[in-house]
Amino acid sequence: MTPRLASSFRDPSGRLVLLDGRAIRFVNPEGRETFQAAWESPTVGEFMKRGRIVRSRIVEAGEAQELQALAATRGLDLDHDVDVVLEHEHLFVPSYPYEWPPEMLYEAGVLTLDLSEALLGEGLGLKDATPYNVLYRGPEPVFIDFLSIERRNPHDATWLPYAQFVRTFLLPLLANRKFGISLNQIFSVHRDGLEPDELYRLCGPLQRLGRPYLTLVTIPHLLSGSDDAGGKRSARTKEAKDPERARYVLDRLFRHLRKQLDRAKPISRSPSAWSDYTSSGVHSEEYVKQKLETVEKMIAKLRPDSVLDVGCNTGDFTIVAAHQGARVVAVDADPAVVGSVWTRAREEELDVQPLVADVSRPSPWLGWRNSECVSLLDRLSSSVDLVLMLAVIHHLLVSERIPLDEILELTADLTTRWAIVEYVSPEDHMFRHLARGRDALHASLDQTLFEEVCKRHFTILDSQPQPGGHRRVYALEKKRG
Amino acid sequence: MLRSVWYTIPVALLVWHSEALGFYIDPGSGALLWQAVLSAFFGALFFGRRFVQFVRSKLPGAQVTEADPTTHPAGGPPGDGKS
Repeated sequence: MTPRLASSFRDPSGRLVLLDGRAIRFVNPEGRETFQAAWESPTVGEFMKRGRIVRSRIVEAGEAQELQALAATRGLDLDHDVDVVLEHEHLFVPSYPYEWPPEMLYEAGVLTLDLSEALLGEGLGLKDATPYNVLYRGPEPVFIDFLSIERRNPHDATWLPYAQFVRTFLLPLLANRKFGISLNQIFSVHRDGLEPDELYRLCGPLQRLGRPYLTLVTIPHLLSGSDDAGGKRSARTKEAKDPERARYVLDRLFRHLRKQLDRAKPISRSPSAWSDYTSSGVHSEEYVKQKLETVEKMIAKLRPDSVLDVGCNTGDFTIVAAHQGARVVAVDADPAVVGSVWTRAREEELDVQPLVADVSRPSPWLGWRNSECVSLLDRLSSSVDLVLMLAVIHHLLVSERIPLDEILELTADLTTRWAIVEYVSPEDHMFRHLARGRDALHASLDQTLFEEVCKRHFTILDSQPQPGGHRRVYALEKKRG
Repeated sequence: MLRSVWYTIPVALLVWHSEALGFYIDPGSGALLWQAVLSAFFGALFFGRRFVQFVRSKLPGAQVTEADPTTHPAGGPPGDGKS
């Protein structure tokens, strides 16, 4: 079954589907006005030109009908008549907020506020403000939910997505910054972020009175408790008589949210268990230098368009690949190192999208009927020309007890052509450190066995020994069939 | 801390008199009510700013400065070649 994209069915104005690698949005008649307002907006045009809103085009009538017919043959129920068909730029390896380091969630929040403020001047606004409206092109956030842009009532001084913005951007960032709760823990369970009550329970008495907890957590918590459970309150919205006043209020509200977002900004380069791994002296300088040269030469020879760096750590090899012109997705289980890779990629303007993911426990299919958010392996599978597995395989073997053949089979599934992997012998000091005396479990592993298992899935193009005598880097080409 | 405490007074009053706002309150929508408080505060700032502009426009000094087209901020006529 061809899956529909995340949250596609939640928007009554239209459906977003993935058809043969193309991101197609079918807008129904109810969404026509919304679409028109967004499409004709100079602000939207400007943001699209700068790449901050997903680049899109209106599909011509003939092609639109073909796409509708194709969707129908794939069993995709479009439910309503289609008024307009849009094709959006299909971003390389879409990702979800639970795979982002805090730095990327912060930037997505900045983009959402930038867009909201810019749209205000044209009498437009956003219907919702959730990080699921943002994807990443390399290290840059891109707003993707076109139908979220609507014409606002000029007398309305309320920003309806305010609470959602607080729940899905501000509170998760605060929970991460102050209490070390990972975004993965938050978003893989709570689609709509954190409620103030949840953070209130974690805060101490003094913390509850300090900034920004007083206004983001304590007061909303106290006010929600004052609600009339019988639901007897009236349902009318208060409007401002003067549109200029409404606009002024909204403008100040956005500025207030921006200050709050800055207070929740992640502390850059917070230390973690793995953040100083490369510079910690675990490995000799000679080893680090030679491995970099080896990998750089191998990549230069293979010239991949796209690379997946599994277990990227601080991104040294990710950056090498990116400097050679490849677009790179880098994954690591440690949010601190992924954040530092993102910061580095942004500073050097490299096409790198780093994600927080443990390859031994990757993000599964999530959402309604397990079909809204695509699993990480399905998104990565056959998306890249080259997979890097450097200083990773021994961790999977020892700590996760995954058989070598399974690891290399996964590597073959992820790449369309090549892999560069590092063999680490059981005599290596890090291998022994991980094994912690259970050396007998890996007694049969040696270079011969490693190469034999490689050859089940790959052809060995090259292999280079590394300083120390216990490690070897291989360049492999996937076997066809 | 003092500035934080300053917030709680109008909020406490608002909690007790929230019916007067005429807003629909969903269960658990404390954030929406807090937005209403902020909006009321910013709305008051808006009127305050307008009032100050009105008062300034009535002051004798303010009128001459605004109405005199020969006065140039750089101290000379526009386009006099000064960089």
